Amino acid sequence: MIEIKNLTFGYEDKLVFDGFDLTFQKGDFVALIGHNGSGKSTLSKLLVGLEVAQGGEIWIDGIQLTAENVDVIRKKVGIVFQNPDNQFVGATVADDIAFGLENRQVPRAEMVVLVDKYIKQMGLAGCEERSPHHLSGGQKQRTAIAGALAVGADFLILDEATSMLDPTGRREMMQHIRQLATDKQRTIIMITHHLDEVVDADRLVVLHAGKVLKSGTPRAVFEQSDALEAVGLELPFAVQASKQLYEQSIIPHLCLTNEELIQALWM
Amino acid sequence: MDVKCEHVSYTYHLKTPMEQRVLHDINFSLSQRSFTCIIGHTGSGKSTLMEHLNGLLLPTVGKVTVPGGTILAGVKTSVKTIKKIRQQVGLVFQFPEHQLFETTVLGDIMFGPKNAGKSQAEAEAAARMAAKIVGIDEALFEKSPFDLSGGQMRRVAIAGVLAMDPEVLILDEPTVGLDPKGRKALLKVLVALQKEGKALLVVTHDMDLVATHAHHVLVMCQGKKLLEGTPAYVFSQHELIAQAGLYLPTAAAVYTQAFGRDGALPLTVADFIKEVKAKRPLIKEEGKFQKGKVQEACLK
Ligand SMILES: Nc1ncnc2c1ncn2[C@@H]1O[C@H](COP(=O)(O)OP(=O)(O)OP(=O)(O)O)[C@@H](O)[C@H]1O
Ligand SMILES: Nc1ncnc2c1ncn2[C@@H]1O[C@H](COP(=O)(O)OP(=O)(O)OP(=O)(O)O)[C@@H](O)[C@H]1O
Ligand SMILES: [Mg+2]
Ligand SMILES: [Mg+2]
Repeated sequence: MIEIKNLTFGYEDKLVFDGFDLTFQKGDFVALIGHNGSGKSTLSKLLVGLEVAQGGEIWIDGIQLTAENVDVIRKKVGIVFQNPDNQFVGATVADDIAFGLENRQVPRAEMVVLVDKYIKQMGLAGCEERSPHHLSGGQKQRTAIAGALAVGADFLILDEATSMLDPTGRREMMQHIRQLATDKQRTIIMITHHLDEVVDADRLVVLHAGKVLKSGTPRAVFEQSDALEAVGLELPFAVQASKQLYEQSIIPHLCLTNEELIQALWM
Repeated sequence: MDVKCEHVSYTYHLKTPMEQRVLHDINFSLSQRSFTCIIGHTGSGKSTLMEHLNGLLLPTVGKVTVPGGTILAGVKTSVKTIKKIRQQVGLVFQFPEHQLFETTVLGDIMFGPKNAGKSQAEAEAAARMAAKIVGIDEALFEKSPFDLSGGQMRRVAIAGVLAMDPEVLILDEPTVGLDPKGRKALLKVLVALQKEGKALLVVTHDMDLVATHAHHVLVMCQGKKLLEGTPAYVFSQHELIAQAGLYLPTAAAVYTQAFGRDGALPLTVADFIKEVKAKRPLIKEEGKFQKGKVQEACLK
């Protein structure tokens, strides 16, 4: 579980969070959305101690995040940054994926197997010996994701981690994430602007100017479509289309996902 | 023709052990007042190709013609020509961080017009206008462009190119990281620019954007041009689209799954509603929803 209590944080010029509270339940797959500059990336940096709050508390698995135990906390949390370039430490793709494992003292034999597994799983075969900086945008993101998945941390933060993947790659990634979420062992926080990706989450949190505007199941949040549209957010395709079709009594109910919409059309 | 690539091939790190050939004999051309989308799988060569169009990368083989000049493989292009090309062909990089370098946001957006010989006042006016168009708050003007959120950085990078007012605008995944409101605003600007007579080239993985905005689509696959045509034509080539690691726009994908591949595919929400309504007699009979009717109709 992650508990954020009365958090206050600002960069030199202005406060991003002023008395901010949010809890992530253990095993939950949470999608975090919100306008540009609403504080999503700042929050994820605070959770791994890359930025330090001026006030309030962060508790992860019952341990309070402090300057002394930031290393312990970081081992519990895997993160993929919004810009993968900020993440790379290894000279080659394989080294980079191995880095987090080395840091966690994973035995060498085990490490080799894990690196190999995630290179294959993330479709990076053939890129092992290349510099992560000499890859295409999507290849960089795949490398960053592979590194975070390989360490298998209890908490995983994905900050727009799939934003540059091709449609097939994005689908595969969402399947991996859904799979990871099924056994309820890992807490996943996924930041995204793609609304079709959030419908599978257990919980959807909408940030607005450093505050939680809405929080609940995706279904409950998208039912309040007017409030979302008022702050410039959109609705997933299935919600948009089913709303219109329902109002014209062509289908019997509103739908959240494309699968539900297809079912409704078949009824 | 405004932009033309003839037999363009490119190899990274030529004549080194890291040598990698990534573009193979690319041919295409586009004219003024056009909106072209480039789509293709991860690593298919889209960014590499775009970087050829403003002289950032020089073709290993082939010829690139753009407003401002011609670049020919193996022939040294003069610094003057490259400079002229860069003023007429604006490129927004896939990673905005690669583009930002000034100490303030406003200074960064002003760089292009100043470099093109505009006065301080003219450059500032152009920069303020561009910032407003993409939704950059004045409160951010004096900040370092590196102390911004991801979406704010993207906006600054786009504003910098808009302020230059080039003839050809190339945007490499410009909607990545933008919130829905920012995406909408950007697309509105692009449409307006295209109507003004500019040529737009947008690299994207957003098939809904392609469906709703492109006039012309170029599909890249493993460094080659796989397919080219209108969105309706390109998205009707199911096998090739799948081969290229792509997918149908959401409306078309849902429609196909519900009703099978039958007739013209809806590409937008509005088309989708229209097509579904056309099927309505099948779906709803005498006010009662009937299970399986449509499925049966599709199987026939
Ligand atoms: N390094 C920094 N120095 C100063 N201000 C910053 C810094 N990073 C972010 N900010 C500011 O803090 C606010 C929150 O930024 P943050 O990156 O958390 O937003 P975000 O929700 O992740 O947005 P986006 O969707 O654009 O990625 C923004 O107003 C931004 O300008
Ligand atoms: N600087 C570089 N050095 C060597 N190879 C590179 C370099 N940049 C890109 N490549 C390789 O060239 C190929 C094409 O890359 P490019 O960036 O053009 O792809 P892309 O279509 O833009 O992909 P994406 O959708 O992931 O951004 C890829 O295999 C990539 O690994
Ligand atoms: Mg962010
Ligand atoms: Mg690219």
